[in-house]
Amino acid sequence: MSKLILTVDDSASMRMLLKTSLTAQGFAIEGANDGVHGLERIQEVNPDLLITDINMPKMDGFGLIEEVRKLPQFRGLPILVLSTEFSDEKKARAREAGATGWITKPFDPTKLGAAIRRVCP
Amino acid sequence: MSDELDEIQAIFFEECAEGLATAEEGLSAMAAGDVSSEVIAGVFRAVHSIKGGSGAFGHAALLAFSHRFENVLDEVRGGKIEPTPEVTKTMLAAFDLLSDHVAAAQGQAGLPNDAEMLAELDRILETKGASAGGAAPAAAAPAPVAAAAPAADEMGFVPVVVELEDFDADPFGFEPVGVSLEDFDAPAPTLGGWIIRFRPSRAAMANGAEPMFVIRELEESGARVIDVDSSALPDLRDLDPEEGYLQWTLSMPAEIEESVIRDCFDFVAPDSVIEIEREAQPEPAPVIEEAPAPIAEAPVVEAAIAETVAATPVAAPAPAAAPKAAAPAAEGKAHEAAQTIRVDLLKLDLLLNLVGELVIRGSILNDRLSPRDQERVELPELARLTREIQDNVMSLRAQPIRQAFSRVPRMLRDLATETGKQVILETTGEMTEVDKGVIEKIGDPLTHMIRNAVDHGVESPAERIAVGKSPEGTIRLSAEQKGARIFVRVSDDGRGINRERVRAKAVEKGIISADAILSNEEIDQLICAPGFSTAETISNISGRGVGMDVVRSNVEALGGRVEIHSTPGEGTTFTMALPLTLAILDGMIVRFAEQRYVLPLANVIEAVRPEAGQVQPMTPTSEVIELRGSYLPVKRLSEMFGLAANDPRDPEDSLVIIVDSEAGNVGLMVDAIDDRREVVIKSLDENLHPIRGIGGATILGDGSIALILDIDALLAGTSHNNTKYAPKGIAA
Amino acid sequence: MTPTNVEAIAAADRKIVTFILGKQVFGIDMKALIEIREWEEPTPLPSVPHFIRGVTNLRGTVVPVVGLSERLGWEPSVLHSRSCILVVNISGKRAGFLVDHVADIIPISDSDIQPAPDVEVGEQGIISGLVQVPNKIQAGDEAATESGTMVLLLDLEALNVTRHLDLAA
Repeated sequence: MSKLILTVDDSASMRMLLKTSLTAQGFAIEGANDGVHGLERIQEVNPDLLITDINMPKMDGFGLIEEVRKLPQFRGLPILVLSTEFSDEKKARAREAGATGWITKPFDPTKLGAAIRRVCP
Repeated sequence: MSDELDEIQAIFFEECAEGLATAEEGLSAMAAGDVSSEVIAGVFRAVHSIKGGSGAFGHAALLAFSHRFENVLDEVRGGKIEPTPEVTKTMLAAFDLLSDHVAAAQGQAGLPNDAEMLAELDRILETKGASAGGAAPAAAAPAPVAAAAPAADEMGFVPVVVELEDFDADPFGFEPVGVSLEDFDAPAPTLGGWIIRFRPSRAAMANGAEPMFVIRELEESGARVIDVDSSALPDLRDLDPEEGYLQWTLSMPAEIEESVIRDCFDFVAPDSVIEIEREAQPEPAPVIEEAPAPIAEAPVVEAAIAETVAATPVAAPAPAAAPKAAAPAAEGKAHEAAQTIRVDLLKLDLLLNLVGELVIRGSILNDRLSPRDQERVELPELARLTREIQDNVMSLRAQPIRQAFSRVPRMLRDLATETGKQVILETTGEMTEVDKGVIEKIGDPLTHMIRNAVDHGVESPAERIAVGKSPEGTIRLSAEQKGARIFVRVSDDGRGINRERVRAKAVEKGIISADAILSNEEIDQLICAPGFSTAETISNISGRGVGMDVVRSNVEALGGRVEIHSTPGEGTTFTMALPLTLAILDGMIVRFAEQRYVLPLANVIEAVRPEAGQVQPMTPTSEVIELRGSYLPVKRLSEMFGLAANDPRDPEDSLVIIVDSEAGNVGLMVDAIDDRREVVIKSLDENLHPIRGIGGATILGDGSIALILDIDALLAGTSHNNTKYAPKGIAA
Repeated sequence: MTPTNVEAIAAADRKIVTFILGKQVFGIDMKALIEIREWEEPTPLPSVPHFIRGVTNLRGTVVPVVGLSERLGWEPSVLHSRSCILVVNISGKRAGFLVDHVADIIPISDSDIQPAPDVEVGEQGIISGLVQVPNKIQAGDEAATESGTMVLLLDLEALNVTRHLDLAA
């Protein structure tokens, strides 16, 4: 069974790009367009991995990660941040919030796939 | 696949357009003095998204520019750069360049020259403390942590390429962790195999990470576990399943690149023990623990880990607290965006057509039922539901007219630069909702009207001062809905239309005869005549061979009209009166010569059943009706359509519908009024071509077709005293 | 089915729909045909060329109805019980043609098509070619000879009915 990934990004093009490149690598993809929506969707689809953007309207990526980690069923869920930001301060905050790893946009689809398999083989 | 990418890219450009609109709105608000954190955050997020996508789609120039722009915005957002008026002005200019970059990425324009702006943005970034006044640098000091970043990523997250130029080379941004190759002396065939020690910390298990995966991945790359140190394991009852107690030691063949090994640890928490060393001798067989440790300089261990980890938790809480405060503030604005999905406009049109069909079928069904059955409660209920669906589908196509207004500020800035005139823009009613089709089509007319206002209306600052006006001209852009029409106005407070000159020019161009008697309004209208241009010198703004006549024909093609009001010395107002929708019309269905026609209700004033003698011939080919003491021309559809030369109808057997048109009030003679209701407009153009005087067709309850009359065009065509420049109705 | 027909089908490059108009047999490419409808008086339009008889409702779309006979310069068709409308697709636009009646669907191969002889036809290109088909269409038609029936292939595009022409106004 293919792994289900929930991607949360306010940019539809980015979600579609992720979907296109990851489906091609055998992952199943669900999407959400901001933190609040992401929090709803994650409980509906129960993914194997969460990939989230940081800068989003409503609830940002940090908030989403914190909220997700509060849910007992997702304490052990791998969460990757996919962002154009790359400051250590941001990464520290992501880690603090409960992120498993950080990937910087723009991404190379194959490398993204490899990185995903690192936390979600 | 590439089609798919193209499609995604098209969506990205749509997002860019939205982002640009948001950014411009925010920057304009900042320019107007609103520098609240949510406004700044909104601008930042918009530019940030553009940057994100531009990288993904390989638009390097756009990426580079948006990146630099974002950096400045980030500092403004973080309070490190103060959004002074100068800074805001620069950002507005940077925004204009960003728009140009987006256009270039779409292939709509060449690459803009951004060197100067980039230098300016850099200058702002560098001088952020200094320019704010001596004291600031100390406060600014912590920031560079971010900038200095790439070398040691103490958080254990994937380090990232900071130099934009590298994005192409390594789009993923992975970079081996803090190791410089010089550390290895002479990489030679004598290199030893790797010894890897890994002791996951508690944190390594916390964030959903699974150290086992790391071990497995290492094994897949050729590693072998040579030892597991379990000495730290407590008794079972004391065991905390989330604590790390084990230490693995693995060996890895010498030929594996260190970066491959490092990559496996990408997501391992920073406080874990990760040691990667080469064995001293090229011994193929693994050596047990004692051996590797002491080996000289060669090992590259993340020595820094211990200290940095200690430092980070202290630093972290502070930034973590700040965004919590900022986030809710940003929410308010974002809420407006609600949740949206993108729908292909074609699908909406199809839906609209289907609903139109439903309405028609509903009324056919109704016609066929007996009166008693028609009153059964289900039927009116069905009709009501159908109407509601129709209204809802219509509203799906409605969009705030703001979209059409959004490019005006930029245009005005450009115009101000080109003409040396100073112009302030005031906008009202930008949230007025209009059919998307209308919005798309008023862009060009609006552009022309604005250009015309700046070019011909607003005076130069010197000229304005001379006549006692403020040096800055004002252009008011407004939209409002009145009944079934949307009025879009462009007003300037400039010099007004020079009627003498317009008239002289029109005579010179042969548009009117030298002795024509024209009212002021009629003279004003002349500037919409084809080929008319009053510019004394052809400027590169308005004088492009097309002008207000294009505005007029575009607007009329939409079923709208243009009005001009001008007061010498005080200014000019152009008004576009547009239909709210291009799809539905409130109409009166009339019968004439066995055919049914739809008169737009907006044109209808009243219906009169003439008494004997009330309608009289004036000449052999014209008639008038006497109505409350005044005489109005009466037209027969047959004569307007040229259907029959001699219409034998007796006025007393007819109805005269008084309609309002550009040619004044006119009576239309019809046989009867059938109905009054909303009709779905079907374009003749879809399968044929537009016909002058016919605004379209609709399908009636019985499935037959009724033509929709375009009253203005119809009467303009038959009126004799009308100026000859009235080509309308037929346009793209 | 005669052996000739079998061959024809095997070698067919396309199918044509043939129909009678006055005394002529015409053919159009099958691919252009959308449907055949019974004649129904269309709603007349003002300011259009005489050959456009009006518009009719084709499942919610407004489609022009063209008197093909007039368009080709013949006398207007006389309406009768077999009169019908061929609804066709011309570069994405739809139009209905009034014809006397539809005859057959015939496979032809491109090599059977002869260029229209260069006669004075008023407008070039309306008849894109001639093709002879086996004699089974209609006894008594002038188009039929011993060797077969002459079918005039129409170039719908060249009829210019759905485009706005200055001369049309």
